[in-house]
Amino acid sequence: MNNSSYETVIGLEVHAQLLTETKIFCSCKPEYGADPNTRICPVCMGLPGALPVLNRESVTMAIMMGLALRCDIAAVSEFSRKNYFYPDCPKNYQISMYDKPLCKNGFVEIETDNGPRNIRIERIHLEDDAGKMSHETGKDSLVDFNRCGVPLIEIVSRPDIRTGLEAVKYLVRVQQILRYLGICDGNLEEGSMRCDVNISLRPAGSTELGTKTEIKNLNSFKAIEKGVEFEVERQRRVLEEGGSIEQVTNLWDADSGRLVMMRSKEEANDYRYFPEPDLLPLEVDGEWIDGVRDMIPELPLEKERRFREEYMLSNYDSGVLCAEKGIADYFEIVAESTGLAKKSANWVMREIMRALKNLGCAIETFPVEPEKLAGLIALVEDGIISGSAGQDVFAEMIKSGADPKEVVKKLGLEQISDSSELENMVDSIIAAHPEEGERYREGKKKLLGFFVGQVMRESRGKANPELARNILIKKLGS
Amino acid sequence: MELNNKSISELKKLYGQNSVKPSEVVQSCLDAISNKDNEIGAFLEVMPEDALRRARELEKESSEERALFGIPIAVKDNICTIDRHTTCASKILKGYKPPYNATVVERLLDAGAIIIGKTNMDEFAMGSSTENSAYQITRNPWNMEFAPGGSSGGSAAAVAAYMVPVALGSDTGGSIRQPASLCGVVGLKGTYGRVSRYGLVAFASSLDQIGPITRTVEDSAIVMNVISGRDTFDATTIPDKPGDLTVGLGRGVERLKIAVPGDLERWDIDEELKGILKDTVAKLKEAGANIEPVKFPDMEASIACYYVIANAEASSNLARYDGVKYAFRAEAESIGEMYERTRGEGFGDEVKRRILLGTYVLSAGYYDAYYNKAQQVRAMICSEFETIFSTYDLVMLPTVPGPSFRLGERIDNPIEMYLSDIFTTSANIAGIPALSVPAGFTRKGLPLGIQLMAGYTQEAKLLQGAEMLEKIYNFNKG
Amino acid sequence: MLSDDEIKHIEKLARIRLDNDAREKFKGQLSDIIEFVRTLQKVDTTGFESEARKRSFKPFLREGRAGGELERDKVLEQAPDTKNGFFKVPPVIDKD
Repeated sequence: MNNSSYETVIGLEVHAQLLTETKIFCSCKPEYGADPNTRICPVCMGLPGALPVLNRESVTMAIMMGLALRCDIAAVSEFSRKNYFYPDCPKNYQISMYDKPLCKNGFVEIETDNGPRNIRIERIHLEDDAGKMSHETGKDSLVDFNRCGVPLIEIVSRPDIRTGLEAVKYLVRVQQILRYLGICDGNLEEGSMRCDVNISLRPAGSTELGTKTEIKNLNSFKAIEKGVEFEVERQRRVLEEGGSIEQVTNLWDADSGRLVMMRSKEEANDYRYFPEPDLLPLEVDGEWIDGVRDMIPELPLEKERRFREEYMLSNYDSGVLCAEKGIADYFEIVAESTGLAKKSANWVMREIMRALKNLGCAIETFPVEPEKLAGLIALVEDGIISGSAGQDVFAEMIKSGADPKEVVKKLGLEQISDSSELENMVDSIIAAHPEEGERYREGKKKLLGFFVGQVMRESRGKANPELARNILIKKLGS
Repeated sequence: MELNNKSISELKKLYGQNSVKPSEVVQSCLDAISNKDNEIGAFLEVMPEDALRRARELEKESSEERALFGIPIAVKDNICTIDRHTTCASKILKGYKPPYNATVVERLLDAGAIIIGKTNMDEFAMGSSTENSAYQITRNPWNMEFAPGGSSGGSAAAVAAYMVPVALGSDTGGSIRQPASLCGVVGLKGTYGRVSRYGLVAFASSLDQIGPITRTVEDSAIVMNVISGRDTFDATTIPDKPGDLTVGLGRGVERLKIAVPGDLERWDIDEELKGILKDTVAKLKEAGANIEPVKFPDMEASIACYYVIANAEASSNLARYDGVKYAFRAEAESIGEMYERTRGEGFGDEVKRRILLGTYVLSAGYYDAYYNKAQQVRAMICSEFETIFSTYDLVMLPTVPGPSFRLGERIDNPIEMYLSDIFTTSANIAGIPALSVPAGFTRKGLPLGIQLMAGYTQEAKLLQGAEMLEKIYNFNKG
Repeated sequence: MLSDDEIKHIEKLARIRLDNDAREKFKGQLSDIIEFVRTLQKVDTTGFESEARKRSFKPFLREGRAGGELERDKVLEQAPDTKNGFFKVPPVIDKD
């Protein structure tokens, strides 16, 4: 059998930590990296007698994501208890929405080789995060409960994804949207965004789903792509050898680039879900939803479309610029004030992005404000300074945050565009190189470049090269 | 003057006349405890220093207007008291001191009350005799061979034996009313959500309510006024205050419509109690009440429904006692073994039985047949009560089919023990207020109780009717 | 009557280990109780949905106001075992 005889079916579960002021059921303030067990209270610790009270902001943020992914928002949703024992879960149950989630039936559009495609969203629901454990093999384990009760949304896709690359594209889109909404920082390494992948194979053309396996612990896009490829290959081999797939949960071990089995179906938990009696059903009315709708900014996909139409940018350019909302906003200010969209796009995509990478800083804290970059682009475009001087000015602006005009003045980089000054300079250069002048006139027209170079050197790069060239042609004669 | 014998309203009068000081009242109660409690065993812990210190502090303030100024109170050991043992009479919480006060405790302290000790109970409030305490037996003050009832047996015995004027209990299926009936005191369970459960160690979250055990109906109203009302730490509390519950007192029962279950003869009710009930009906009619038989919700279904829901919730609520975070841990080589041994050794038999039953009814394949069915029965019972209370103001029936039983008599027969809750659980299932009033004694000198139930949030009417019963029984033993 | 396997399965889910004597005793008692609560199934509940339980007020939500964290020492002093500010538990053995 060849590769095309199986179709890969992938569904993703994304957990995103919400950037709320307080935890989901108590007033503790979440803080990544805080000292262990310093961000806990009776409620998130599940101390005897403590009760959860749902935080409004976390619901608002979940609705935001629901609307952004075109979901229906349920008028009444409900939290349930998911019962399981693990030391990082202080109550030994998680409070999570089960059969009545907050958001249902949405989609995320991704680009594929065959054009755009919608990955359907089954549901988005709210739940509380668990604590963190550190294990040493064969030794005691240590528990930090700070993360307990940090609000999570779980975004569950339908099994519409076909390749590891598509999975990554979907996740990048989800990450972008979370960040655009400002509800999650989307950091896979720190775990503020986490991803579980469900994979099964089926004979091409079949509509039935095969037995699926789950991969957890995928904490980078690279891991996701590799983990999926690894598991697809493994399943294909099993099926081709006439075997059957067992329902298992695997952990991705990034160091070895392999999957490690966590539990088999026989060990699968019986979570004994039942409605959480400490919380009443969550009611969301139209007014609340409308209020949330007003908070949603233009999302990456719409922004990309608008950039293509309004600024005549390519798919690629608009995609790069819109990947991060801050960059897109920055670009727009630059483009609006210069009136030169493509030039502005090039500056942002090359100089700005390189500088951000070198400085390791975010666009929001970048020392050169977009208005100042626009000023610099105008100076180059108006011929006040040369393109290469523009680079020097930009470097200086990053250091000092100064206005481009001041930098130009300080560095003495204004172009000499005064023809009388240049004519004098040209006269003396021609006089100093009679031999070259003679050969030029004899037909070695290439020597014009030599003379332009001399002018540039004499003027220390400040001569307007176009003007210098015209004067030289005139003065050298033919 | 034996101050420990005084009711709250009597003490309030004495304080108003400046004829006694809080420390004198506290001392009198402490003396009564040291005289009697060796034999009765109502208290798990007495806090003489704390109580006297607070009494002297109160003496410096001139805040006699506070509703419970200088009133000593005992608190059931499943209600959290900051830095003071709160064990639920369980070995698994031995030595546990919560870092916070239950909302009711805060409200009592704000009202000027003085907490004098923690009372014995059935472990985690599971039981009807207080024999399931891991620490000690509590005896019925009227006859030391007999059980005080349970699970709030310590609280009821402490009040009945004049060791305190009031104690808090908790009622999940009758745990305030049943021991109140067996000890000859007044026990009130309000509407579900009337009193905050924050800091009440959960048994069954959708049924649990804290309430007062007192010697008079008026005292019950005074304490309920203080502890009821919305709490932002308990999402299930009712938003509006009930209003002053003492206002209905003294209004009599003229034109009140009181229903009596028509099929009481189905149950094996004590003959003397039957006589009292008949006599009460006659006297209430004389007083102008309108009394009719009604079809009462199926009590057997109610108790079965109760055992499914209460234990399902308990199996989840008690999952947190695992040896990780506080109190008892059985040493073990692995986490799994630690869980099983800690819980196996830390919980008593009745608690284990109920956790296992609750786990069973929620487990895969049984949820619909048991838990879901029980919720449907619950919805039906709620609706049947609604129908009754759309016509009637109150329902009157025995609290318990008979007087107390000998210690040890029922301990090995769970079902028989469960059936002593036959008349009480339906009020918890429906979330309606109910109370037990002392109605007299058997020839052998054991107390009997009559129960009233009222419609959702109708505590004022309930107390109004109860005060009339109190007058009829002329039970004033000051 | 509950079988040995059934009660052992429930023990495992509930993380409660019974010794053989207790298991024998509980098996009978639990079977009786299950028999008793099974009477529910005879109740005609047509027209009543499990979620129809009455709720007469609008639920309230917490507004985000940070605060209320406990002092770590106060929490850890209740713990059976700790290390460097963490709760310490026996090894969580990975099943391979």
